Amino acid sequence: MSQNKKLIDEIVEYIESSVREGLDEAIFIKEFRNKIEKYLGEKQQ
Amino acid sequence: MKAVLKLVNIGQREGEETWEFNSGVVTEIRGRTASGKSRILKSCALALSIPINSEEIRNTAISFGIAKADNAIFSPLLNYNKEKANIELHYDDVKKFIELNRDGSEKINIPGNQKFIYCSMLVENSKIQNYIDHGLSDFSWIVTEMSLAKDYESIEDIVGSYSDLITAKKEEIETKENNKKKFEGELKKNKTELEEVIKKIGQLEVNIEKELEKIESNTEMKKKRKEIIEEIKDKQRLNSDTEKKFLSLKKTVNDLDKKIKENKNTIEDETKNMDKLEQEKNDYMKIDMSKLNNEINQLHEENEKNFEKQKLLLPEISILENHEKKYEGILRELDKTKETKVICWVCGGKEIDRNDIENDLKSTQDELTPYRKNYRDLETQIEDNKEIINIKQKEKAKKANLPDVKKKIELLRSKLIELAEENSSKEEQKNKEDMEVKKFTKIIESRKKTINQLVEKRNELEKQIIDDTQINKTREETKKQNTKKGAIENQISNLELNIDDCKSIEILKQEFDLLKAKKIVQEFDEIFTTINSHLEKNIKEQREGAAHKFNKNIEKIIEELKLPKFEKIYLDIEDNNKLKIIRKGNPNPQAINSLSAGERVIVSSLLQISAKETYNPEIPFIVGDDIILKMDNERREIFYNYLKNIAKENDWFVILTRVTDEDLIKEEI
Repeated sequence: MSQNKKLIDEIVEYIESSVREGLDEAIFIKEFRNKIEKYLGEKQQ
Repeated sequence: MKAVLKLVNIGQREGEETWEFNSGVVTEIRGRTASGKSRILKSCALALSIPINSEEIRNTAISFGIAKADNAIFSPLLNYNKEKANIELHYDDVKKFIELNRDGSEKINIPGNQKFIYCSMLVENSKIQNYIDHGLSDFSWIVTEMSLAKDYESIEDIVGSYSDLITAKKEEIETKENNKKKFEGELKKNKTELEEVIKKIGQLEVNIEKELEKIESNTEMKKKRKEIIEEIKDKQRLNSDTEKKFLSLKKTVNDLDKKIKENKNTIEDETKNMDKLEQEKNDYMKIDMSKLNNEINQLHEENEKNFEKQKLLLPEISILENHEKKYEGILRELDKTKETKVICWVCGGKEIDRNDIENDLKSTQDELTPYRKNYRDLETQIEDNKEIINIKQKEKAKKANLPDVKKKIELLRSKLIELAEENSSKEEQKNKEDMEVKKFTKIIESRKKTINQLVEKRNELEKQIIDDTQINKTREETKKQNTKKGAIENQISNLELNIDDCKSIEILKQEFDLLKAKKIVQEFDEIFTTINSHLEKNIKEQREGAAHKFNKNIEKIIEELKLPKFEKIYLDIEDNNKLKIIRKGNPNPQAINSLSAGERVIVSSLLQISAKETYNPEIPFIVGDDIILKMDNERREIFYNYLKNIAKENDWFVILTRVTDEDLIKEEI
């Protein structure tokens, strides 16, 4: 759950900064996927 | 402040041109139709808005002739004869530079704000104007597009796609779990079936072995059977020959027996004949010839005498018979006449009485009878004697036959001896043949017994001999079971593969076992739910905030413009941000399509300025292209005054175009 919380916080923070800085969808998609994949990678360990 | 717009090869104008504008005032660009007024506004808008990422805003920019359409080769602002065009906009400390190339490429030094297209361009075919013109009340798009809600919505879509992926994975996991259970059940069933089939095949193979052993012994038994059959045939053949001989012998015996019996009968008959002949011979031997001759002579003499006696009787008889004839003749004549008396026809004249005649006849006949009797007695005597003579003559003749009889007797005796001898020989032969018959009978019986025993033995063997087709059937069944086994093994292999496949799942190119994946999916479900809640909250806040701000600005503008007919114009947050127009004296919302043409221009301009003030205030430019065309003088004045106010109040550059009969000119008003 703490891991979840960490990811949620990370994503929310990223969303907010992306919106703040003017959302670039292409970059957001790429970065969002990276975060999910990284999380999955950690789960794979 | 001052803004300098430097254009090179923009629109129909080739070469460089420079336009300068002051903030805080309204600048009007006037000129004839197609004099190049709009391209100045469009260049300004392009410099302030690109890059345009939103598809909807881009489409609007394309419809304004600002942005390049997807199917166009180059920007609509590039002069047809030139390879490139430049736009430079300097204001405050901002220095924007855009290069438009013939190959469609664009170069920009500082990005603008795409919202400028929706909010800061007062044009006839703006999206706000179109909605109002078409009587559409749903303005939720403006609060979404113009606020950060749009970005949050975009992110919501991105997160949603992952959320959908996770939902799909969840379903996939569930399907795989169900399939795994199903496949495991099938696998268990197949394995049990396989065990049964293997067991069956094992049993069949044992059966084949047994049957093979039997077949091997079959060969022996078959050989033995053949031998027995041959032996039976031999015995039958032998018996057949023996029986032929037996029958022949039997026939011979029968013939002999018959012959013996015939001979016996002949002997018997001939013995009788011989006895007769012996008797005859004895009889002949007893005959006395001289005595016979005497007797014959005596009889002849006696007959001579009798003849003489007859002769003596004849005259008397003749006379009496004549009388008798005469009387009978008379009586016949009398019978004819039926008279009792007639005249004698002999003597003529003498009468004849019937009674007399009858009496005469009777006395004649009485007299004649003893004569006749004597005569006949003599006659009988003569005949009898003759008979005796004949007999005696015959006896005499027989005596003459005596030598013949003796000869016959001798012949018969010889014959009887011969027959007796023959019979004796035949009896002897018969006895001999009988012995042979008995011997053959015994042989035949013995052989028959042997044959029966052999047949029994053959039948017994035939019972023991197994039909070869049985093993073929078993082999066929084994083949069938092996095929079945192969099919089950394939099924098992497939099921195991399927089960393996069900054991893990791929999530974003990473493989997880089902249990882990289930947990991850659950976690992501929670993660995305939380993120979505955050996004939804932000979207709502953004929309509400944007709508609230928008409404507040509208209220301010209405107040500043002092529009006499409208009480309130606002986006109804409670009703999905629908535009509501309340006229003075009527609390009910006014239908948009009931607005007059002039009212529609006023309302849309009002909303446009509100959008500008609300969503795009950081860019100090408003551009308007022929927006006052449809306004009456009164409204035009009010609107112009308002624009002057906000230009002054915000220190904005307000640049408008207007069609006139003049050459292209710029003037602050």
